[in-house]
Amino acid sequence: MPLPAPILVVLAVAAFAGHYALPRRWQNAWLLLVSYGVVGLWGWPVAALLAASTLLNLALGRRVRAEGRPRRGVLALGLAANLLLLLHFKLADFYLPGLAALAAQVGLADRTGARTVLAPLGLSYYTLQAIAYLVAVYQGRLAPAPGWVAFPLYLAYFPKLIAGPLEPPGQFLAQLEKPRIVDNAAVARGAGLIVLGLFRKIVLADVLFGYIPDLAFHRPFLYGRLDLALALAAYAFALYNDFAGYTNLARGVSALFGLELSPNFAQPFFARSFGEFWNRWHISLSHWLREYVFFPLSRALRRRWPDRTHPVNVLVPPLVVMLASAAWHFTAAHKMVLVWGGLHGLYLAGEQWLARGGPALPPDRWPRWRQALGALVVFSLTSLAWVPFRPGIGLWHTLNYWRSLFINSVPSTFDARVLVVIALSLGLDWLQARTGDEVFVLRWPLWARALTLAAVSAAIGFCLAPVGVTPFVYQGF
Amino acid sequence: MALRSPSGRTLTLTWPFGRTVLLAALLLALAAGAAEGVARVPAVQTRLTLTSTDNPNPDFDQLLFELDQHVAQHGPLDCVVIGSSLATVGFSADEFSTAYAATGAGDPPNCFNFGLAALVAQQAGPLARLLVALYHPRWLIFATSARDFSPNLDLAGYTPENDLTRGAWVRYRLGEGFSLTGWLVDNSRAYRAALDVRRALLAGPLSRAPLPSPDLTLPPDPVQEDRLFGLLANYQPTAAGLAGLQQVLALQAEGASVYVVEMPVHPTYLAAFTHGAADLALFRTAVQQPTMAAGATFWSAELELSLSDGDFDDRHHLSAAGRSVFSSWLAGKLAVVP
Repeated sequence: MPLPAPILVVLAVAAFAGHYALPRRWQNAWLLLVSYGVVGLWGWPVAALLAASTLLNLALGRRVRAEGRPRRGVLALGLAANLLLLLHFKLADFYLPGLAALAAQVGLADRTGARTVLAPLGLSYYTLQAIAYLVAVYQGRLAPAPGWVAFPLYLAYFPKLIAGPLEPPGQFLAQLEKPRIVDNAAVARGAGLIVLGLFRKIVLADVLFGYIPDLAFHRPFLYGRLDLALALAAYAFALYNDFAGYTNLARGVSALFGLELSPNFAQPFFARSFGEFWNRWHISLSHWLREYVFFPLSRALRRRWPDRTHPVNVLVPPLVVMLASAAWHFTAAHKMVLVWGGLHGLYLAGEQWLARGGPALPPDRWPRWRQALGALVVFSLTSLAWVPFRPGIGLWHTLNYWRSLFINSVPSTFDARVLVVIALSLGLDWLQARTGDEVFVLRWPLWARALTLAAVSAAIGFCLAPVGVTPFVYQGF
Repeated sequence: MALRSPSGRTLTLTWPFGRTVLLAALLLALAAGAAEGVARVPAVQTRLTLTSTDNPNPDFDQLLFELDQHVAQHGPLDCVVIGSSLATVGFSADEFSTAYAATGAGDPPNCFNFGLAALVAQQAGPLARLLVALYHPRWLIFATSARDFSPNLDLAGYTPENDLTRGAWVRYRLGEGFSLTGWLVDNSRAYRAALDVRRALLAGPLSRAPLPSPDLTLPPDPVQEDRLFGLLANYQPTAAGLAGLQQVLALQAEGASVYVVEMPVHPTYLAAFTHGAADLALFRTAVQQPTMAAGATFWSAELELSLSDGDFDDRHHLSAAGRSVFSSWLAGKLAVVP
């Protein structure tokens, strides 16, 4: 459920005013209260589930390490509870109708029927963060969070609750303990990130989504090859700007409270290898998967097959990690993400297999031609993988799209507007990469900043759809 | 400025701050003022067509613009037809007027077809209220069919993103509260010109491929025509749709003569309903009863017209030949209304 913009603005202003009117020691409690207020807008069961998950993990976190010794059983219980909760909501639509029918057959229920169970707001995000917390405490890298505010706020903090970024627990909890001074520069940076987020979402993402032909993914045989290629590029850049826009907004709002959230993107379409792509796309999830799936799995496999270049060591970890990522993205509307994850697993495994014998040169040190070729290959193959990422897509649609991309004979209309918006997106990325600063505009003189802000505000107002901003894609996971 | 708390400062803003925002706001205000001034220069005014009201459904804006032009050219409206694409392609205002005059019932009526692709019944009410309030037609004809009342709105082509009733100007004109956008549409020429530029730049995808027409000699194929089957599965007219119909019918008491007309469908269309003709009858009864109760008129072209395959483009859209038959039939019906 997208919240109306006026409600969001009123909430943000009230949260900001309350935060700075309160004594320092009450600020975290205030942020927790505001966060639950935001969750409550989606209904009390959503808030109750978050509270229950929080209490469970808070209790387990205090028992997962006792007298300096890790307790494996408690960790296993915590991992199982969190994963089962996540799996239940991801798969409820598949197994509940069957269970209901079974119950009706044996007389335990008086009727059968399908029901739709939507994953509660933020569940996928706070569950992974709870797991990260339990593991960090278990490994002794983090002391259990004291009191009744810090850890609950870590899970519920409203700017990152809906769609991340997934914060490492140590990093976030440490910030809660320190005094947070917000000065002119911090406000300017926070506001800059918010404007940048609105620009990415409204001017780039929503416009590109609007350019994608309605039936392109479901009836690709009706469109020319060039139109299908453009639709796919538009979809890739729209997804990127939608999610990057959200992350910018979340980080900007959080910066106004003096809390720094992790970046999630670093110009992913400049990636020259698949490994680099995943260091630039949804970075916080990539880090989580690397930390809690890839490394433990690689270590376990290396114990069994010590040779680093053994096929099992090269191929299995990336495949498993990307399938785990796909499972995390899985919803009733996104069943084909398993194909998306499988493809990315194959890409990574293939890349690692080809590089297994040679020196591991970073892409920066590759010759120019190889960098360009790498970027082209990565963009093309990741774009093909976005087809099954589209909601409501089936395997047949996916195969049809790929086939139509190469064999359709329908004439193309060629919508050049798509290329203009993509060029804008790439230009913004290039400036950010060149300056090493997301809000590089803040370094410019006053007149240039004001002119840019006026132009960007006008563009946002110009592109704002009559019915407002569309929901963020990653809110649905 | 610093906001202090008992334990010390946490927000420490020092002067000057906010200069960038102030300067940007000033620049925007200057640009907007200059643009409005230019847009009001007579030489510029004549070149601006101003077609958009910032409605989420661009087809609505286009039709409204055409209606304004029509009224400017032909005078006050006698009748307006609303409905979905079934009305758009199934009704010809010119053929209707000619046929009406040929009956000797009176002068050719000045009629306009406001059939809007993907319109559903719950939108018909606000649309009818708006058109009656703005143009005061003598006859309001709601050309409807079972699809307008389907619970599967998305398969009828409806999305919240193209819902004309969510347009700020529409709501403003219907008296549903003040809206800055609505006010600007009525009062700022530069704003409306900007909306037109926006529409040209941001209008949906350029490539819209037509779906292949089905073979009308065969029953609908559940795989190829899955949208039609989904639209009509377990058919039950929606409460929201019937509420929209009630809004249309309420205009009868406000001086407009309201006619609800069931559009004809191809015989094979019935196979897409779960219960065939019984479901279509369910729709008919659900629409006919409130229409009669409101003192308005219900006619069923589906029951009264005998059409051949050549009169249809697909299973529920009329062809040019079918359009002539339907428009003449409707003129004949209205001609004998006292």
